[in-house]
Amino acid sequence: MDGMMKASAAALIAAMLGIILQKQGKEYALVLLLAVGAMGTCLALSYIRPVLSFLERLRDLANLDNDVLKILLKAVGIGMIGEICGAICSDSGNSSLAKMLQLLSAAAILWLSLPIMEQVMDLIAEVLEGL
Amino acid sequence: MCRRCTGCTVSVKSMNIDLVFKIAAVGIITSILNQVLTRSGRDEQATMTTLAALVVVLMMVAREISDLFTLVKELFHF
Repeated sequence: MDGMMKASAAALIAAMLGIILQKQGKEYALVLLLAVGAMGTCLALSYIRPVLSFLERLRDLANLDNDVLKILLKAVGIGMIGEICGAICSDSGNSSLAKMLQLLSAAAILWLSLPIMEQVMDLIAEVLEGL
Repeated sequence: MCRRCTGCTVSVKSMNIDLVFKIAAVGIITSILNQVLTRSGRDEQATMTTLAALVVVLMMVAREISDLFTLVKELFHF
């Protein structure tokens, strides 16, 4: 939990320094935000890594298709990146960019999940034919 | 920190808080230099100094951002 404490402290320090830097030069506040956000997210992902390998073990146990888990993970990744980058954009005052990123990540996730939805449709068609 | 970190392409480093202080220091020094140069009438040098300092700071941060995206690509199978 050492990393978690360090990250919380760094976020607090970055928030305070950001207030000072806003007056001196707003661009440095944004760059500071980027740096701390990137480092904290890397730390969070390093905690998530064992959880993902556990999920892959579960998938092997359940004999699920490899593609399904990959699509799910990609969707999670897209959502996470879109959310974080959108939040940073809206912090710097560009809420329109944040909305654009939200729309983009939603559209990308829908596009990604088309194969799964087609599989579900085929399954439903099979079941209805059998009735 | 991570017990089963086998085969990582990106080395998981703990947060270096030094970067935070470096960025803040560069920002404050740049703004002071900017004011000094503007007051002594050298506006274009002030602008160039500001831009150069911003580029330096962005290069420092670009490493962290590229590490983040590499990690996301590797973890989420992109």
